[in-house]
Amino acid sequence: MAGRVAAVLFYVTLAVVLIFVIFPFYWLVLNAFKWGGGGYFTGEYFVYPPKFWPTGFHLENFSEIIYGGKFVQSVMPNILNSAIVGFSTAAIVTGLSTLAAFGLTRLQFKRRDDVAFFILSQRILPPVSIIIPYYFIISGLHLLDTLPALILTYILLNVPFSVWILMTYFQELPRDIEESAWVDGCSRMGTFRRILLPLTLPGILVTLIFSIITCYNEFMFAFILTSSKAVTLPRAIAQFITIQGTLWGDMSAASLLGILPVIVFAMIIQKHLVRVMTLGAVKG
Amino acid sequence: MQTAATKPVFVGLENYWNLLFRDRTFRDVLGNTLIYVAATVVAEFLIGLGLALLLQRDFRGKRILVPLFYVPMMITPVAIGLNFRIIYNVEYGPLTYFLSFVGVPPVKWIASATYSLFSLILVDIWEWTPFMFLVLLAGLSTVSRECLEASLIDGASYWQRFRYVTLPFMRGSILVAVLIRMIDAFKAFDVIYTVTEGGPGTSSAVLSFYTYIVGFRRFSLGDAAAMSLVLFLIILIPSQLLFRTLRRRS
Repeated sequence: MAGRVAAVLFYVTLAVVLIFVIFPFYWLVLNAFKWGGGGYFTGEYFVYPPKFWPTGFHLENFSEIIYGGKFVQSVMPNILNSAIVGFSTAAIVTGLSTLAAFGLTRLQFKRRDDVAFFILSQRILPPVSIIIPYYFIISGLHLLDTLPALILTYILLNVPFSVWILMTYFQELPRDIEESAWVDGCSRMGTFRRILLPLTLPGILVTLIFSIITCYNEFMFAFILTSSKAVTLPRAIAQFITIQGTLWGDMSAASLLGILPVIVFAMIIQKHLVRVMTLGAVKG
Repeated sequence: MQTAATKPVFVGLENYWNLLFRDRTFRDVLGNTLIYVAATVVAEFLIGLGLALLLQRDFRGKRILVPLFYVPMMITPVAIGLNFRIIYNVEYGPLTYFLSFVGVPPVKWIASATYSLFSLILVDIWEWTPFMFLVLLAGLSTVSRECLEASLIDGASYWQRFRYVTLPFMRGSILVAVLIRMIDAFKAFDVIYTVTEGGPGTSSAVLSFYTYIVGFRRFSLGDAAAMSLVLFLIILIPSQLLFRTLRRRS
């Protein structure tokens, strides 16, 4: 009897938690498929009680944000910007971090740990505390509102934790394999290329994908450093709040379109996410 | 006051003096920041720990359920913020509707100075409790089964097993989770910008957001720079603790 009560309580708690986790997400999807008639303060969004099921699955919001509408511009250029910035940053970051992590785990030099912690300290630094001088540096280089400015910035933001995660993957590999490769006449870079790289490939891919996600989601630097040509998707979504009002349908459709790739990427690496987000300290 | 247009003049510690003794808003914002960080970290830790303890055992559907928790913390924060802006809407939002069932009159969640900070804290809790939950769940799996069984044979109660076996094993993951969350809570920006823009007035502005307002909307660069250094100094404390924990573990 007590067992049954406990089971019922367990599933009730579970259901409540699930509703809390899922509802905001459900609301976003729902709003993307409602239709406001293409204007401010109109349509299914502005009724009370709110509608928890759309009267029909409208695709007008999606067509508006893809092809442009009366009050909105197409977000396709922004998605393209986000993709260019995300992929190029991730590729450069992963390349640099793999080499750095190799050096920091396999080579002997003075104050190695301190160097590693100095690199990590950049992950701790609040970005807002460097953004003012940073803005003037980028402006001085005539890079405001360009994609290279964002790529450069996101490399700086992503290298620290990438190095740190990759270090933990390298540290897990037993030294014996490399040492036997040396005995067989393999050079230091040869062991790196032929043994370390293939064996840590999963970790490298996880770092790559996680870098893409963080670039794709980044808002503050994109917001400060870009204005029209290099606007990325998060910044474009934020522009749906206007003085006239917020275009709820377009905004929800754009958000949904924006978060789908992130969810796909996150699901690919889900087993490693805890490890990545705790800087390798907790293995999920 | 130094703006972008005037030539910089050396003022010594004047900017800091202004912040600490003249700028009343700064003190309010500092208070907001401490409330925001303390409330989110404590709530996320307690809910996350409770969920982890509850869901650590195997049950049907666990393999579908656990990945769902990754969604809130992975999706674009700007999208989360704007979505909550709709949910909080006092006239048409679903929150007002749900609360009307339990007799709560419409509350201006984000449009009133009383509730705006609280509304932001709720969004942060929704977004980041999954992080605590997942890290603590991973931590729970490191607890030695043998020790748990031995304590059971010795007649330890549930609470005693939790206090003297489970907690010591989880110490490391708890520290890492709490410190990382604390550091990131001090940096909150995206959701604040999209949900309340720090308003009404500065009632829901925290330090990182207020620095942006002072620097980029009022162009008072000296004050903003001083403020960002204050934020940096505050974050140094949890960061040092985190570094020490990581160093011990590696």
